[in-house]
Amino acid sequence: MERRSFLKMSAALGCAATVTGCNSSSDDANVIPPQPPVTDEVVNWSSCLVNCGSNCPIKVFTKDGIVTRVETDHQVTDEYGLHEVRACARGRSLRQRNYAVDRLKTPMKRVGERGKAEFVPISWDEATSIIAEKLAAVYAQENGAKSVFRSYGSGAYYGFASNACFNRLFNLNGGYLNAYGNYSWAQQMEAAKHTFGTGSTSGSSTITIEDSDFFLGVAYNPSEIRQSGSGEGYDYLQALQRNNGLEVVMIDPRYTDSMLGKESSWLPIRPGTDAAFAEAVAYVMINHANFAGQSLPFVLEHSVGFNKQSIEDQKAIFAASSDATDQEYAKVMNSDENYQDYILGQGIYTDAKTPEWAEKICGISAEKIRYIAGKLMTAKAPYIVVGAGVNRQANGEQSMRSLYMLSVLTGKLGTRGASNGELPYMSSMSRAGIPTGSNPVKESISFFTWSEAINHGETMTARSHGIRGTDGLDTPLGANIKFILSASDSSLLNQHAEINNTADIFRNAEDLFIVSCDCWMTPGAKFADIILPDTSWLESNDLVNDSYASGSLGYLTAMSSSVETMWDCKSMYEAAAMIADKMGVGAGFRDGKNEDEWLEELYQSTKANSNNIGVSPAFPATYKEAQEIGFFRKNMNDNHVALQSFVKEGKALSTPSGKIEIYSAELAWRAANWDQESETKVKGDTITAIPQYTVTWDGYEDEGTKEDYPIQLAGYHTKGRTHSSYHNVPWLREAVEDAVWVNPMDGAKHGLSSGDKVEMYNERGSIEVTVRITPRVAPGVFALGQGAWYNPGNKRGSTGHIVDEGGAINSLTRYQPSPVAKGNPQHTIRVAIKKI
Amino acid sequence: MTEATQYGFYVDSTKCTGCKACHVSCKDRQGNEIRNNTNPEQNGVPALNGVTWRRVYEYGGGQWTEGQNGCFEQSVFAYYMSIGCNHCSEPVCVKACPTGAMHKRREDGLVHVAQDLCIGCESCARACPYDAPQIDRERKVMTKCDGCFERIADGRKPVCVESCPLRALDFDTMDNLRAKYGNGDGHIAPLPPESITSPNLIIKANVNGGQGGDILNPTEV
Repeated sequence: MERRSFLKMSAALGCAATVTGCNSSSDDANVIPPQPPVTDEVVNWSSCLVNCGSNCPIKVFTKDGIVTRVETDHQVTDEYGLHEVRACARGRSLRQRNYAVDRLKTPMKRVGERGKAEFVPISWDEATSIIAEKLAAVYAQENGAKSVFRSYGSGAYYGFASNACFNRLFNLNGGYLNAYGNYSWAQQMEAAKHTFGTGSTSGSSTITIEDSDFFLGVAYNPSEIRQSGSGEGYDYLQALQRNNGLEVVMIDPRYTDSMLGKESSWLPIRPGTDAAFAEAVAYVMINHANFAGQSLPFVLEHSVGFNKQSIEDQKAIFAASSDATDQEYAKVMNSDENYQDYILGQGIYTDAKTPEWAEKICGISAEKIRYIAGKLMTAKAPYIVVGAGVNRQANGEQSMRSLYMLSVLTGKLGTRGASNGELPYMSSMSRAGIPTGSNPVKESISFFTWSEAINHGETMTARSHGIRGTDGLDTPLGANIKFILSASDSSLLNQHAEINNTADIFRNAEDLFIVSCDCWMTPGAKFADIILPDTSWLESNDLVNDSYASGSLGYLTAMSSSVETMWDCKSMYEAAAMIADKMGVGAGFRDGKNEDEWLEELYQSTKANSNNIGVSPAFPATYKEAQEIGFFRKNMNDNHVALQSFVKEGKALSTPSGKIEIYSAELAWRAANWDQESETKVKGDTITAIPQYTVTWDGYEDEGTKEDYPIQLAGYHTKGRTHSSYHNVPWLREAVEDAVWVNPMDGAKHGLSSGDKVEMYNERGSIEVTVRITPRVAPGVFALGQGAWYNPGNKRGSTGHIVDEGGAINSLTRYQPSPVAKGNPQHTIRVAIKKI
Repeated sequence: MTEATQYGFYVDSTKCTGCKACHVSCKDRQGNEIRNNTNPEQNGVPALNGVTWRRVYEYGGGQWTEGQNGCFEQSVFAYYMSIGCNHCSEPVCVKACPTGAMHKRREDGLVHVAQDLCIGCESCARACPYDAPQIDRERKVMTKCDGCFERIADGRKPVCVESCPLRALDFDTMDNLRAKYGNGDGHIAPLPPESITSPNLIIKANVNGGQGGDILNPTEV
């Protein structure tokens, strides 16, 4: 600490270093030379398979069967376009993660209460027999297949020995309950679908930023979220450097690492108030001198819902349609609810969405709101991009749609350099995966509602919970979840909202059986009935691709095991196959192939995929040869311009109207039919046909919680983990401190200094965390990296809950499915604090 | 190599995002250099807590004021500075060493510690304004960035440079670095004045450089 303060002092004061000691010779080399480098190493290729959006290749060096170090891709001259794929700090820590002391080493059976982590070792034979027996008993019940569920599981994106092996197992026995949506993008997927007919990742490709003349990023943070040296973050840096001088405005509660001088201005915003900001920008845009001439013709030609007439026209088209759904839409459409009237405070609306109205809510001044609106109206190609943090809020669907509107109002969509607010489109190389077979179960639940379906699946319906695949609005799902297989998965507890609620459900669910298959003793695994120890990436032979947000460069890694299978671990393929054997479907599961033969088959299918044509180096004949080479890359030349084919070529969108829907016909229908605030009694649980800023539970304007829990807590993706993956790696815990960010003004107000410990709590839980005072977060907002592992201690907190000393943010989040997507609002958190 | 050969680093603080890939990749190599751990299956891989040959300083500042209607007004800035050892031309660590363990290599200008001569007195660490000497408390011996001399001999760059996802780091002879990057923008905070040790380090300055601030991540460095 002494030295460190010295570094600071010497910078500030420019004082000279004190020179002590007696040896002043600077070329005294009369010493024993250091050890020569190790030469007898073996090299294999592996990959980092977590859910950050990239699967970086890892070059593994071993000696005598022990991993000595890892490197990454240095196989080419590093020229952008076909550049090196460099792993971030996480991939570089893989040796420590592989040998982590909490590796699961043998199958185990629970003997204590769920969550107490009291287990006894058992054999694979016994473990798989117990699982097979339980599964068979569930399948034997009425609607049994709907009671079998494989939870989320985004911790290991294998191609072959992936957690999809368990889906294959289930399908051979009658199927399983499906889930739609995901923890990352659930609400924005709905928002984009009902606006552009897309899936929220069809924004203009990152490379096209080079042609933009104004960049507006809202919660857009690729430098922290996509850290790969060949991912979206690297493409973002490259694009900004090519377009030197581009005005970059960033809106976020935190001053993120995507800024650091790359931005022209940072406008801090209060969490969850994005829609208020967007509406005020829209208000200024609609009143702008350029609007009538430049934007209105575009808006009227390409969208539905801006004004009354556009809704009437579309309603008439639906009414005349022979399609029953269209006719349903026509019945509920109300042209009084048009966007222009809503923003300007006309017609049935009384309050104009002025900058003066919005500034009090969002914290961005009216002057700055006017400035941004002016820029959006005068830029030739404004690039708007909204990060997914906006969508993981209470009623995040509304916030996302509100921001998407701004791109429509510019009238510039379809132009290279402009974008529509969705995440940038990027493609990947294709790789074949283990075939799962077909699932006879047609029903699916929202991914987020699984914990509720443990006790209430029998009665959940489309109207109440967005159940899909049932007949009509009120046919219940008809089964509770009774068997959960959680593999490469922390949604089982740590990453799902409201940990104390989930833990209570597990402790009380006598009918429930939980299997956890993972490499480490995660907080969720402690609640399992049976634990199966998975092999690690470094032990695996597999075939993986570059994942879903890996930038413009596509790649494939032919993984080969660098160390023998450790302890009594088995791959997920082997685990599922053993259960299949016990259930009498082993032959069907294996399909006559061993691991080598499966990999060869998947490789041949990958090799033949036309999407992979042009790969470098060329694919060799066999998988074994591919493993020798290890790594293959291809410039995917992602050059997508959002909505270009619609605007410039007249290709219809896949919305009900075929146009951009400012007024969504489907959401008008859901607003008329789905359960909302009046039934659920949840503030802000509402659906409207046009996007509207909504005051929600625990939001900035929620009077109900403002006094007791005065601080808005913003969760973010820390660089030291990917979600909860890698939390148990000491090097990363040292490199990236887990501390809650507190603005100096709040530090003074609450009497806090860096290094202090605080209890942060609300009605749902308590966590203990260290404070870091930093100017990089807005006043009134605390910021905490998500994904730290839940670790209940012995003491109770201010609201009676056991204090989570691990500092998992989900001890504080709420299980409350969002109105449209039934997705996760895990960034809407209010807390109070107490200094410890 | 000639007598005059001197290696050094280049840091582009406009590209660095503080991702710590350099810090961690160095730690992965470093472990092999200072720990002989042949049984990681039983013991795990040593954490080497507090022994960090490459550190990434987060430097930032700016003022917050309350605007009208609760709006935010601020002048916040930040940037990162990744530093290992600058293998200085006037290494104060060498001067401070009472035993001659800390020395500057004639052939390449790298500053190394002869661990068999080191008595762990930490005089070098107190003298160095860059935190480069990192005491290994378990063995009571000083350690530091050795310039990945074995990789250099192999025609590679140091592991930190090759690991950098943003391509913000470089390493070469100072002659080559100057030919490629010029003399840079001069050293910015939190770096001390170059006059103290004549560091072999060329900096491309972040646009936010030159403003007064603080190291925001003291626990990480």
